[in-house]
Amino acid sequence: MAQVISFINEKGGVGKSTSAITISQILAISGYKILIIDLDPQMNTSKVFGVQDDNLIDYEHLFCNKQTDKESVQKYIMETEHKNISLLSASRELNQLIYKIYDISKTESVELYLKHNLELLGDTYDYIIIDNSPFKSYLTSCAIIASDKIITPVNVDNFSYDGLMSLFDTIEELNTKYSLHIEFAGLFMTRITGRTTIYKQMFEDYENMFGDNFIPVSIRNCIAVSESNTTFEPLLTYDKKCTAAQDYIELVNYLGLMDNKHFRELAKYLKGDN
Amino acid sequence: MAKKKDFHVGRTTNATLNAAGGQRLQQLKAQTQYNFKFIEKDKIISNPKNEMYTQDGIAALKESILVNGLRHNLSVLYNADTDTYRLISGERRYHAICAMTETEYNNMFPSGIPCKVEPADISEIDEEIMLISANHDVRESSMEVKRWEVSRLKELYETKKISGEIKNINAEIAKQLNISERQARKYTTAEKLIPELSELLNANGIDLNEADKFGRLDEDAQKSILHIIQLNGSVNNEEYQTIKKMSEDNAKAAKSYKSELDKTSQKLEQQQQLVESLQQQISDLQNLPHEKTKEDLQSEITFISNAKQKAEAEVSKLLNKIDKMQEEQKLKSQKNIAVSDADLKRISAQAKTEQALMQIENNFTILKNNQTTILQNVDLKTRVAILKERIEALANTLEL
Repeated sequence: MAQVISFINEKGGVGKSTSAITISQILAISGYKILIIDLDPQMNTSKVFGVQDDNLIDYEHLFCNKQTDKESVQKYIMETEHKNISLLSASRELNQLIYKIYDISKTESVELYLKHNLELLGDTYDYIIIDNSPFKSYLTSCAIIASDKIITPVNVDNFSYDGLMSLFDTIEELNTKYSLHIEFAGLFMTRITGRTTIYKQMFEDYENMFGDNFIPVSIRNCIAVSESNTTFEPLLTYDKKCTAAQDYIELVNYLGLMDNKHFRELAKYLKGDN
Repeated sequence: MAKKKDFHVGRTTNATLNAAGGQRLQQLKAQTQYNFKFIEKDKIISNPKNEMYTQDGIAALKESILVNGLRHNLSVLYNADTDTYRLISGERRYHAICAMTETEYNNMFPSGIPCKVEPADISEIDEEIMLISANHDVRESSMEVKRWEVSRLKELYETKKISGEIKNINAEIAKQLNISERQARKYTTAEKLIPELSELLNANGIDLNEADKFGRLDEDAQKSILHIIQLNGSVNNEEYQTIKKMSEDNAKAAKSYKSELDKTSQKLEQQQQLVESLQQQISDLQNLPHEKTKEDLQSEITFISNAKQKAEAEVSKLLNKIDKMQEEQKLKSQKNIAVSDADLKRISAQAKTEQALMQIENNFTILKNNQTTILQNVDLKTRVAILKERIEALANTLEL
């Protein structure tokens, strides 16, 4: 069964999409089969992987109905030009979907259906990475319920901390409503512009406050990130040796997502010319 | 002078944020450990898997709850499709609460019944395991129910072992029922008891340790044990050891009989093959063309015929031997159905005598070590003298 990981923070711009894309790419290069689900109507992640505006996915099918076979879910997933990366892309339609889900939720426990439908995919993928919209909605609830790990990127400020507190409320609501035991996996800091006083102080505070749930691997800001977000290429394709890429690799290792065999594959790629 | 930089997570100048993020997360974690909820009785339904557990004394339980309050939360599992909660443990408490009047119920449980909500995403097997474990924790079960619990858990865990989820079934059972692994194994051995002894265990006529000992004996030995218990009410260690030894001796004898029979049968087969091959040789000499002279031929045929006769005699002998062995074994097994009454009395008496002798031997050493005390006390000295006479009289009757 695939492990489902969601990147969620109700604060926008903290690096959810960049993290989702980069971590997916690292795992895919190492040999794992990855499915990225883009639930952000802004479609950044989908467009990086080549999707145009007019895609025809019946989201209602995936979110509002309980499917019974793998094919009914698999048919909406597309292959990308990157090996081992498949994509369930977003669209502007996702905004409308929220209202549909709300309607159905009055009579059915519709927020549980995405989890059910993703489970039909079985072992087809090793990891399913969900890039969520910052806007808290039924889509986020569906993603939270479907996830094995919920990870929150935060910036060096209290805006993103506030987003985290709101996420805790959401998780608690869903646990109570459906008697689940959704857990928060951890948070990590992104867009670090150097070992500033504020960074060091916030890092220490997060460590004291959240203990094991604070992931002490921070992602340094580097120009390659902005540049790759401009050319719409995944980070390692653009510059596999940049500092942010190195930090993301360390993050993947820290989270225990990669075993030695797969790490060797990654090492080969990093050393090579491709 | 520049202001000293002091930045903190959750702390702002205008204090608009909840700075207790760590505590918030701890709360969240606590909820996943023990999810507590007040639930209205209409949303709770019985679990068909709780059939095994008795539902008696509901009226009395209701009174008890009205007086003392509900001591233990119910344990439930949420079903999102029907928006109801299925009972894992607490059937009796639930039925007792439902037997209350509306007024009584509303007074006792204004927000609903206090429940622990178990995590919803568990398999059917895990649900049943949880159910058995939860019931075991809150009920004082009879031996019969406990045995059922262990055997049912064994079945459930067998599936998990096949799928590779667990390694040691007895260890898992021990964990669920809060007993030692050794204890769990005793229940397994107890399943090998003959029906009468099994029922005796259920009725607390024998305990689990005895059941464990007896379960290892063969059927006949167990029948003997049963007989002794029926005569004397219990079986002591010497009697058990004697029967165990007999059982082991029987097993040894049966093993040696079998190996003897196998050996003899093998010899028989070899001889029969020899007879066949000699016969073939004779036929060849008589029918096939060859270059030997008539006299040579005749003497060769005679020689082989003699060998063949000897072999046939040997075959006959072996067949007889096998018949005899099987006859003897049949008689023996007919005799060995169970130890006779006379034998049992003998075994019992022997065991009692051995026990008594052992006690005297032990006590004799004590007397010997206290010679000074005896010498200084007239009463004691007299009693030892009387003892001496009694032992001498016994020795005489035994002609020692």
